[in-house]
Amino acid sequence: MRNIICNYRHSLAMAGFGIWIFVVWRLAGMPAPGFAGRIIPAAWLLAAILNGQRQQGKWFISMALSFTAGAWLWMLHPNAWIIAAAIAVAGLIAWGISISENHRSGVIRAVLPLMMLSLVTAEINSDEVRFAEQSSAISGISSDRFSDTHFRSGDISREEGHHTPLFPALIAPGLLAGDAGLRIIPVIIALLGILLIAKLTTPRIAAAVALLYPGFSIFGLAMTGWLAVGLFTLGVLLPEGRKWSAVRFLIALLLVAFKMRYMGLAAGILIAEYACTPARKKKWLIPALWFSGGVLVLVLDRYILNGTVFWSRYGNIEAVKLVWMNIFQRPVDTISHAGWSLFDPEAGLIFRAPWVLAAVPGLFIFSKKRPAQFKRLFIPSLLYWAFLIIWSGSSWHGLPAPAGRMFVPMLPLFACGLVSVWKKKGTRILVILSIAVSALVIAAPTCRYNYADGTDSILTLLGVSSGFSMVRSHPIQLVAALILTISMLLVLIKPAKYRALSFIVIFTAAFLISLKTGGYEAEDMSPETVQGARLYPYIPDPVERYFWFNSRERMLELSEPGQSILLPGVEPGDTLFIRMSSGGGVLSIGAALLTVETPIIEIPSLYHSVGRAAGTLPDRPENRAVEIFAIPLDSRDAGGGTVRIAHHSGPPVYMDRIDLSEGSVLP
Amino acid sequence: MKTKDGSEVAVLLSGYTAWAAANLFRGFSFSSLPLIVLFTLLGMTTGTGMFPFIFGCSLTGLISPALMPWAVLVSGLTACAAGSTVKIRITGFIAAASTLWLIPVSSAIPLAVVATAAALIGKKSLRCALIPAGFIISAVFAGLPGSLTPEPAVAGSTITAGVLSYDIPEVKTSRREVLLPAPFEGTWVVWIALEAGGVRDSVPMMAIQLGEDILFLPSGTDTLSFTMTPGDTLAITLMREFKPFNHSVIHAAAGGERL
Repeated sequence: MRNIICNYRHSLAMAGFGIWIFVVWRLAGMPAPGFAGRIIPAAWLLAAILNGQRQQGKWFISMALSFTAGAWLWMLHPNAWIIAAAIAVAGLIAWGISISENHRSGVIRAVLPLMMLSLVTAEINSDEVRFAEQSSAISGISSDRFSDTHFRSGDISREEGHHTPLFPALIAPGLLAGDAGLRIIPVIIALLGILLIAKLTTPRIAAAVALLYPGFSIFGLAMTGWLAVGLFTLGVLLPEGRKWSAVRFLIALLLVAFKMRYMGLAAGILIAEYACTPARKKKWLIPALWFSGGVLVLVLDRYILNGTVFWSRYGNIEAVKLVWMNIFQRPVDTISHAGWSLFDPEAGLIFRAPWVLAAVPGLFIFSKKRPAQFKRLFIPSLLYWAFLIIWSGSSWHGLPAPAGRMFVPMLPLFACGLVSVWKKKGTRILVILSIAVSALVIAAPTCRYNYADGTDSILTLLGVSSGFSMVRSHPIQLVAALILTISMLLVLIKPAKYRALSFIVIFTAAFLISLKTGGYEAEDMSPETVQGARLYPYIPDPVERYFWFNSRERMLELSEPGQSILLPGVEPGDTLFIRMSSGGGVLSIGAALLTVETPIIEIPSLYHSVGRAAGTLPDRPENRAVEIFAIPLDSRDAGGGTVRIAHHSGPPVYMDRIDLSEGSVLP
Repeated sequence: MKTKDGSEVAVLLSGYTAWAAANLFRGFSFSSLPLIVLFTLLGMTTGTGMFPFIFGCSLTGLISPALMPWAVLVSGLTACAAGSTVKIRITGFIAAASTLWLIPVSSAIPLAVVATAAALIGKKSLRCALIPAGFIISAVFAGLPGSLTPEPAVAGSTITAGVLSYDIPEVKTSRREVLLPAPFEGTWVVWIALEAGGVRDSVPMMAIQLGEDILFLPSGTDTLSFTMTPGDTLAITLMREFKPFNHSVIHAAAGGERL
């Protein structure tokens, strides 16, 4: 008995901590005892069982103390309990990463408790539902909730979704277990993906990339990301040789068959395969001819055969035209999308996965150690990213499905970068920050999702409203983020020389995120300020705003009696600057009336080439110009330090933003 | 993360600059002053094992004004307990003390006493025991501190085709009161469905107040109806204090129609 206790004392400590979480949760009266208060202790018990005789790191005691102290602070702020719960989850992630090296099946043991948490906290999203409906229709395995198909925005018809049928067919066997079986096959796929990354790098790195963003965004969910990771990694691991080239070709085809978005990745795999062949004269002429031939075939199919051979979602040559437009007709927008894909707080790679920054210097080391594998990883990943931005344009983020998932196929590349720099102190800090993100997502499941409206769920949870966003900021602000990133990379590459810079960089970054310009954004206005008015569009799904020509921010609608805005901190002599649009609606602002009439916008000439020139835009709120109205306030308007803005008569008025100035100039 | 000699000044300057920038752009606030002490502490802990923790707290405090006092308090108490030199411990004490005025006196006194003692005592194990003891004393004898934001929450509302609906957050110990203001125009019939629980007795746990009328209700489900005119505000208040193994909470849904 003594031996057992001695050998398994670390597991017993973990089990004890699981019970401690359960008890303290109730003793302290923390919210959500029935769900979070059970699943987190249960995950710790599972971890204790899987731990065996392995020792936890020094972090265990500090984490346990922090949770215990944090559990009592939840009454101080409505969200404080989430921080306390996240501390316990962060401990599990740290445990997973630390034990993965110690056993043959360590990497699987390491991720199972977190996978369990991920599965039970991630709400089934609309993409998963669509996959399940397709699975049910294809396989004939009827599942209660998914037995009927429904039309969704972006689908071709009710019966035909915007997904290819291969992935739904693959996950169909899981539905034999009923609705709850939807994620059985995806879980197996994710675990296989992790094993392959472990083979490519080390078990510890594999566990880390699975438990941190972007890998964690869809960890175990019925989405294609981890399947792409597995196939891509398998292609990299295959030995050199002609027959293996054929397998890689097959992998590339499979990737496109699973999801059109992986076309860039597939093309990269083929290009990398060719790049790894021995150098010879005019080596790159042949693929250039192949590419031209492919485009020619698409053109012939579209204009001679009327698109009967190569059907695709966007209509054959139109897809190529879209690529052409995004590169040559609106290059600034495309570069801006690329920038936001890295830095946007809602869905950008670096904000949710800071460890990627540490992996970048590691890639230089990796490229020198294993140049062939580097080519096979770098070219497809780069092309995947480029294709994502160029093909998807402003919808590169794929929101509102889990934020960050678009970068999952790039995991093998970053994992190889991370392996070379894992032991560096800078890496450790960035990994800790990344652990915090995953832990917060588990403790507050809504943080997994965002709506591309400038309000990031994690920042909102922390009480921060950022003005730095892809839908709010001017693209030029990306330059600041770029300079910060380059500075950070300098610190990571040459820490001894640039160490002092790192603090300035991090503080400035924190400051940028927390920076909020004065004034009121429609989405950020509090219930104390807004009464009765709704945000337009009425649902937050960014798909509703994908094709807006103006700003893609949601607007506040004032359309009927009772709806009003009560702005505080106003004095006579101040001037209100309101960005709004309307087809003639009248607002009452204090004692004054204001008619708001803005014209319907013209379609930008850029869109004439894609057949959007015919007719005029319909009279919808998003198609009217948003103009700034300056309203000077006198003592009758700004009585008692507030001014009330309400709908008076006529059509609805849509507000994007309100600024307040002491003078007559827009602040 | 440990740093070499000489980095302390860079850390201090970075912190002070960040504080100055935050005040410059957000507007000066007295409540941000403890951040200066925190950045001083950060500079002093440069090169020690405590640095990453203080650094994390500094970032939290800088990013979120709501969490700033707690970031400073936790950093200060940690430095009191684990600071390797008297200099660090005293600075930790000052950091902790600079936020104690934000907390109710009943909780602040035990914490102030242990922070003072921890800053002066040389023995590390004793110092480490003192801080949790301070929290326990504070919680057991003085009760848990109230919310930092004592102002009641205001429920969001929407009006669609003359139908009013409120989006009411949970009422619980960290948010003890929610207000439902009437629309500023017209007379409205408002109904409210309440579901209160998490307690183990039938003593009244919430108060519903409209104007001078007040109704006390025990746990369970209730539906009430009111007539509201501009200027009226319906208040839902949790009357229970914290009690171990209790999770007092009120869920409410409300809507209305224009008369």
